[in-house]
Amino acid sequence: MTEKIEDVVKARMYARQQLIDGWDQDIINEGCIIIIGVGALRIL
Amino acid sequence: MGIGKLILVDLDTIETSNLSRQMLFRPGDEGRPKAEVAAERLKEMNPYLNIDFYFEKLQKLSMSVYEESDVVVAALDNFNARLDLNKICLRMKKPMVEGGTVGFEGHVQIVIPEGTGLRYKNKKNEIENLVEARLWEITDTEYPDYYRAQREIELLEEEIERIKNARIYPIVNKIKKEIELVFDWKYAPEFLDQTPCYRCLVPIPPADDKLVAACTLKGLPRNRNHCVIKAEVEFEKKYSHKPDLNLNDEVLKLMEIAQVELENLRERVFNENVPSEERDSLTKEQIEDWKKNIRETFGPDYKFEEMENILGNKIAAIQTVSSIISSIQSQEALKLLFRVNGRNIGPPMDPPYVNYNGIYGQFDHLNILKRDDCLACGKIEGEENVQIVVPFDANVGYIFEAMEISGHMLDSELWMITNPMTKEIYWNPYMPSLKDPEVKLTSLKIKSNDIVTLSPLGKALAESEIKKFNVVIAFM
Repeated sequence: MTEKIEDVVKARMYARQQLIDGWDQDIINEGCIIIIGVGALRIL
Repeated sequence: MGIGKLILVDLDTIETSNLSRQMLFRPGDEGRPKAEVAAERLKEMNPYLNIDFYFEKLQKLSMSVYEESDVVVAALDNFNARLDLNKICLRMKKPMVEGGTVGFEGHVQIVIPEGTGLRYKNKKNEIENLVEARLWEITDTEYPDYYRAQREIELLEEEIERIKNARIYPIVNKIKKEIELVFDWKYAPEFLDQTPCYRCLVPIPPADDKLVAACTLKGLPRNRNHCVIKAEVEFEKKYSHKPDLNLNDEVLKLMEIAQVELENLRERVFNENVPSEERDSLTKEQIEDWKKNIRETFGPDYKFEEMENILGNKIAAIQTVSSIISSIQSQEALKLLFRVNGRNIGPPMDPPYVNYNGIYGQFDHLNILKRDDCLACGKIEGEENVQIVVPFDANVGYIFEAMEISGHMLDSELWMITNPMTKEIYWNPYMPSLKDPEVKLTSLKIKSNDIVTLSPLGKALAESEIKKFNVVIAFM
């Protein structure tokens, strides 16, 4: 059971995505994705 | 995007669960009307937008508000509201773009009511569809030969199927069984566990922009982009620093210099095409025609924004397509994140390359291939492919200069240049007769897009990781 206010807010924020089959919010919380280049999406 | 007017309608207030995916809302907005906050934020992003918002039911909204709109975008969360809006749009003859999502799936539906005057469908296709429908209705007595032909086709198809069963499928099945027996150890690692790499699709990278700029500086500008590149150098000479494209007055000064270069270019081309001795025989109108043609060839006077577009080598971009592509990237990153952590919420897209065309609203998955000769993931080691751009009058020595500009500093005393097809040696530092940097590439019969090979000698052979550069030479 979540106790801290911050955890409750997070639980509410991520409520919908947790309805997806196989979703595990902990994996997202612990995950790391690096994005190289921001915004332009240029080809050349 | 700068649309003249936006009208936002929503009866909802912001909830905490909206904050993770509705990008206009922030912590602290909870409880406020969505339409009002969205209008506020869009106005912050673009103060020139004209936005009205309505915190009420779409069914209660005055019809004059719909009347004012050219297009209705539906982003609703229940069927009944969608059905009501659909009815209103049909009545008001307004095109509607309906959209919705559930989990990982989404849809967009375009609704064009009768009487909007919008041509939507393709006439040729519609005629084909009507012909197809009519063919289903015709009878044996009406078109007996059509029916006879159909029966002949059926018999032929049965015969094809019989041949396949008797002589094709047994062999296919035998080969399939052979492959299945060895698949796990022979093919699985290559086919199931990896994709082609980025370099597989770009075996020869495009020439470095700096090479194009270097060529421009060696000669006179020959197009409107060259004039701006030249102007940047002139600017640096005059003001002792490169123009800062974020400063308006520096861009204006740069534009002034570029404009002079452009006018000189127009003048040069005019003089080349209409020599002074011929000018007396031309009428004033003919001379004006020449000048008009040259103006059309090299384009109008410069606009402010062209400076950054040309120097920054900018390409056309539109936020809508960026959003779609970045969303797909995020989706794939998410699935991969689960997968690398031993969980599965769906496989990565297969084939691993998708092309989206926003004009046709079409996604095409392309079956890309892994290259055995890929310089990044293939079996070839110690080679590199490079494309260089050289001026028309370039000499052999310039190949080393261009390689340096491309990021490959090679000592001309330790590298040899040869033709990989004929094995002819163009440069050999150990042979004085083949060590003339002034020899023109054209005199060696090198044409645009020909390939030369650079190979290390002596110390370079031992020290260089790359044992062979395949260099594509493009003349500019």
